[in-house]
Amino acid sequence: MSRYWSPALLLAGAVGLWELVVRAAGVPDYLFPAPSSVARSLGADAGVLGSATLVTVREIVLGYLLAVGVALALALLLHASAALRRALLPILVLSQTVPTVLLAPILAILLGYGIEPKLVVVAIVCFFPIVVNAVDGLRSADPELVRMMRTLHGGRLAIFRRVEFPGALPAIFSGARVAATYAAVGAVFGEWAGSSSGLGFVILQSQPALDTSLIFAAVLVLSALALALYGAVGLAERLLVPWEHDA
Amino acid sequence: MAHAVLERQSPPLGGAVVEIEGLRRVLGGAPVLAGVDLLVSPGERVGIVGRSGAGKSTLLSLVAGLSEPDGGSVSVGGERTAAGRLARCALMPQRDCLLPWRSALDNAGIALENAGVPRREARRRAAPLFARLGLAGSEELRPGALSGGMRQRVAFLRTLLAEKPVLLLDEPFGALDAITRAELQEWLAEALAAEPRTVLLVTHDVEEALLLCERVLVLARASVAVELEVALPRSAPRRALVTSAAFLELRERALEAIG
Repeated sequence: MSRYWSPALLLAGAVGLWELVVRAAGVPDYLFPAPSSVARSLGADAGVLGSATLVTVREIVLGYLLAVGVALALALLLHASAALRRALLPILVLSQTVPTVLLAPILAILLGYGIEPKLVVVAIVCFFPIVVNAVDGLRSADPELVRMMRTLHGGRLAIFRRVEFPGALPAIFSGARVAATYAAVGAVFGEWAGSSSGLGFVILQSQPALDTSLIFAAVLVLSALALALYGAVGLAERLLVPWEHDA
Repeated sequence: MAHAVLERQSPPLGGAVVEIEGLRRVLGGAPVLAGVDLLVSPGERVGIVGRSGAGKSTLLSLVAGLSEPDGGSVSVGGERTAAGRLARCALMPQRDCLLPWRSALDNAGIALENAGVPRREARRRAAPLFARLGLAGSEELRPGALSGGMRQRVAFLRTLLAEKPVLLLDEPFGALDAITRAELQEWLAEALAAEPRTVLLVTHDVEEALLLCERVLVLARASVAVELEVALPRSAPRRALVTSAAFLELRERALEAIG
């Protein structure tokens, strides 16, 4: 637990300073709310935030799983064929230069206002670091291990299953951890492009009402969701890659 | 098909298992092997010694079917194609190359799994060797929890369990400390007595080659500098053996040829 002390202390200090400055300067809540008024919002609007959180959690988790699935499938394809890698990788990089904020409304037009366009936005935001890390991980298999396997009845598939894929898992998970921190932002973009529920929707609704405290409260919940996903991915790694944590 | 691969191939009686003739290999413009000849009979153990860069590992990888010669010929069990050689040789590299995500027992049985044997059956066939060759109790440990010596033992069992007629050992104990190394040399001699195979042992340690092999080749300047028949009383204790006049003379001749 000791590794959480220093960030917790730093965060507590920053929040304290924020409270102090906002109060001392007499900044109104609708411009920049003090932590105490954000906390009040969190309590007062718990019902609104709670049901919005359920919607957004679904989008984040399902969208993220979609991203992992698509990313692994793409990584396998790119790993299997050098020609495909040369053709497809630059296009994937290009896809990352298109601003998601612009893509989201187009997806809403294409896919409607249900959960689907949100999942696609989350997946688009998340899949890239997983693909890149997975392809690198698969390609960095120790050539001596591969030689050894070839003399031990190891065909292409056996080498992939028993050497390349397990060896790439740590790299895949570091991509998956990075992606986990993007998922919440992706869900908000998706909701902004057209929705009637979710934390992103709550934020959008609170803007004209100048309920800045509620916006901050919603952002706080989104951060907590991102952290929880990050933690869950870390836990999955400990379970699936136990040999990396032996020592 | 998987089972056809695994049937113990009995090499042709009288004929050589490994036939190498005028073997040439050029790497980066320089000849690494320039006309090497070697015949290895079934069940024979041949040591190949030489300085680093003398072409020892290049020779093994050619025999294994992992690379192709630039001249001359190499065949294993009468097969001259790379795929045919690959099907008949099992390679044990200098680094143990155990897979960190598999237990010792699963590492040992990997060749069987590669050949299509179910994991449970592969484990069942690897287990008795663990017990017989001093590895009992370490079956479920991952390589990270094994000492260097234990890891090499598991790596050797893995090579043995490939059930290939020819074992290619490439500096199998090169990364171990002197004491563990001596221990493992004795262990390997016992293991090969229990599970006789045709062996090509590459090492830079002349003593190791003389202790473990019936014939020792010295590679120098891209060809075989000298070939030594090792007729030593194998039953003699190691200390007596390595100080005997016959052993010292063989060692002297080998070292001289290495240059």
